[in-house]
Amino acid sequence: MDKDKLVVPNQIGYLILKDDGAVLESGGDLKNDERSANVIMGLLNLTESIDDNFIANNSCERISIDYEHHSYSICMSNRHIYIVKFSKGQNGATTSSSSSTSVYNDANNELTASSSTVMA
Amino acid sequence: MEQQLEKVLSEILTTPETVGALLANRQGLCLGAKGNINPNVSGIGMAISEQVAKLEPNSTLPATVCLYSGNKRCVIQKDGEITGIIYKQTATATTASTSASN
Repeated sequence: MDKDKLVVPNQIGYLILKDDGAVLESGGDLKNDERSANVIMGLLNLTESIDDNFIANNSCERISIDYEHHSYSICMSNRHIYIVKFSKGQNGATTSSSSSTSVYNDANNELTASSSTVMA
Repeated sequence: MEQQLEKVLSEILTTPETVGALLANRQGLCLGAKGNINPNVSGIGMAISEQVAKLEPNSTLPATVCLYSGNKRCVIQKDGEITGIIYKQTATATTASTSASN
């Protein structure tokens, strides 16, 4: 039941770590992904003190890492680290249809070009 | 070369909510900074971008890292040799709108 609660829209993976970096729970793309857990722990250590004048030490409440098609969100709460991997909405349908029409147009152009050479 | 960097930094500063911008090289040295940002941040910013690059080493496009703290956020992106660090600050602490504006 707890795991059902963890699922949020577009979630494709999650990790829950203890503050020492030990993996408590994991699922989806991040199932048993200790390598990612270690990288993120290294990132958290780096973000502890960036610039005390702008973001006070240890006051960073959330980190997001954005890629083209997915993103990670990292939150700290109650000495636990919650990492969720999200997929981004795919709008590839429109691009694929436009590319298919362009292929279609190219084919038409080739046909007209070949017919004109035949005519010539 | 510096003039081009200065121009880019000035353009970045004209975007809404931006308070400071900085560019760092591969060694973490500051190439240029504009606005309210400490040039010494270049080292830690570069270290963060290098650390994030380890998360998905096969990714072709660089990741954008955003650190949120109240109404402030720090955006870091590494592209090839250069790492960019931008400080942003909203008038009110609305995390939902800040994530949308990214």
